[in-house]
Amino acid sequence: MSMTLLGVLGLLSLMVLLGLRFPVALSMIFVGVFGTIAATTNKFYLIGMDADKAFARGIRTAMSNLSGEAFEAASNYNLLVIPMFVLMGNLAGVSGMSADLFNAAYRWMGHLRGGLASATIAACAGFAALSGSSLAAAITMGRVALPEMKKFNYSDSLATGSVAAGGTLGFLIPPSGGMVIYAVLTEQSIGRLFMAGVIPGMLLTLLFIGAIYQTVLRKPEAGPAGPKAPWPERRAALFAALPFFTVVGITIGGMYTGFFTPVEASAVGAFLAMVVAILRRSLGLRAVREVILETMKASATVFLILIGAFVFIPFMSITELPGQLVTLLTSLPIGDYGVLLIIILIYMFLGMFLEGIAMLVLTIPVVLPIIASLSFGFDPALADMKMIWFGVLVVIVLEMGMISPPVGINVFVVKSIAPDVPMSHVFRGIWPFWFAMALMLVLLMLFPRIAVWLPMTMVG
Amino acid sequence: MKRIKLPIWIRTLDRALVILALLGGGAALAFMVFVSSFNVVIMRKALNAPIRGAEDLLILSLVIMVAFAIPFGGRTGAHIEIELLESRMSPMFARWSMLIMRLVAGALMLTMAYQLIHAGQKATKFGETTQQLLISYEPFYYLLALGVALYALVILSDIYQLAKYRRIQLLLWGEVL
Repeated sequence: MSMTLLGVLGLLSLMVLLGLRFPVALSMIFVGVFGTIAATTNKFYLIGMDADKAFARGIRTAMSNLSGEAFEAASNYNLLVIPMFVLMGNLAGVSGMSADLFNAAYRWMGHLRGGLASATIAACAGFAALSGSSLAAAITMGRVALPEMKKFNYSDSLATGSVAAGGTLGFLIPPSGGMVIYAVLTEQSIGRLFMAGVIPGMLLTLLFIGAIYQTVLRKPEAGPAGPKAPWPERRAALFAALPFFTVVGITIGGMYTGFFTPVEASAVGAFLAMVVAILRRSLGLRAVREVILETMKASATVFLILIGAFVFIPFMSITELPGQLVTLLTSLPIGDYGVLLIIILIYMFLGMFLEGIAMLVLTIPVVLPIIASLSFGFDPALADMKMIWFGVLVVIVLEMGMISPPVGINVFVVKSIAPDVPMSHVFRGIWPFWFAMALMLVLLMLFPRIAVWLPMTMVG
Repeated sequence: MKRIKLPIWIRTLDRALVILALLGGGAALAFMVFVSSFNVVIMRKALNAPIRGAEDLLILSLVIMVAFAIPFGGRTGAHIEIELLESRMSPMFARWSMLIMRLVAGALMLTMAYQLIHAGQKATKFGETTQQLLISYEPFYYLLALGVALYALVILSDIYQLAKYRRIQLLLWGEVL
């Protein structure tokens, strides 16, 4: 049997297992193990080894991968940033820093038409700088912002749409869980990827605010203006948000200036968030318990799925399927950007059904060699920058998936906070933001420097 | 949906998972935060004398955290499943396919636990140690194996619940503590 066919069969089996509600991580481990047995046996049989010996070799390789790759994922120093940033986000939530952030944005922007929704986006962007999780951002900000928007008669679709879309910024603005996983899977620098996410993250925030402005221009009743806060109140709100700016300034600033590595920054950030929570007396026994268990739960999701990816990737390499796909796609007369467009459209389609992190680990082993083989106008010496640029693109497409029907996960999170809002209204509200993300993708494709300028300037 | 009173062995398992996650995971997280922050801010930046082997200790504490997180995540619904096609399946097919898939998952996790023990037995012999302090990975392979075996037990509890109650009731830690 040809290796390519084995690879295709492996991918089909993976789809069947996922469809049967087998956990994504376990599906990857299952296909990785049995695929490695089949592919290794086939490989050695084809070069003349006895069938029995080839099979024994296949089993040995698969079992060795199973334990070795699992331990490798669990002991990867770079992955320390995942629990640390999750912890930092959870501590920021209990300390009230997220509420302060919304309050400050609200005081400064609430009097504008659609201002509360814009304040929600700004606060989500700020919270994203404390937490790498889009769900955490959507839940935390949704709880604070949705009741306020309801109070000021915002339309349900604009209110819920802005929270669902704002939450996705947590996946792009560093520290981003998606970027850490992409970095580990593609062996890129986490620090550079984080830097690459800054400008696109800010631009996307502005595009989201633009989408709100455009919505309220069309339908002014969707986002009525709130009362104008007097200047002393605005200054006081900004002052109350000072701990947030301090924590973000030290951690993220420290990382960008090279004072901390990403791992060190994540630990220092968690430490500072804990200090703020202690000083504000919000870290009681119950809160400590919640913070630890929430962090453990979120870490479990990421680590088991990474173990799955670590076991699955060697199988894909043995089958050489990604290489065959590279040959196929590069032979098409559509150019580098045509191939990229196909990949992005596939991601958008998958994003309708798959969860972001799952989609990332499932697709990267196949997509990465394709991207590596194309130039996109990058100098060969800047091949790493090309992978970083692509990482930012992927993260934005995954964000689109988080709010795309029928299974946009952020939409469900928002629905859980606003149970009286029909699902159709929530999905109607996300479209302006979805198109803003699509526009961001186009901008990034036309001007890759939006992503790579900062890492190139600061790290070289 | 009404909460089911689960049998004592599942309640004991739940309690054990929460306590392990809270104490083991909490200690590992606290260790990571304090050692890493102290090492970088005080020892490395202020005193220019970084703690020797700090990275080794952080890696080992990460393994501990992962070992306790995986089974806890399994019982709290942290491991991602794609539920898209379930609504299109007949209830009977959905239930039986889930049962069979859980059996396969349990066997897979037990195999993984066994292989981790096997790898742990060879770790010292093959010089698998941390880079600076040369701490053998052997006990940490066993700990990860324990975590994976506990996850297999969680899957067994899922199978029991599916067979008996036709649904899986996830752990709510507020009920346990």
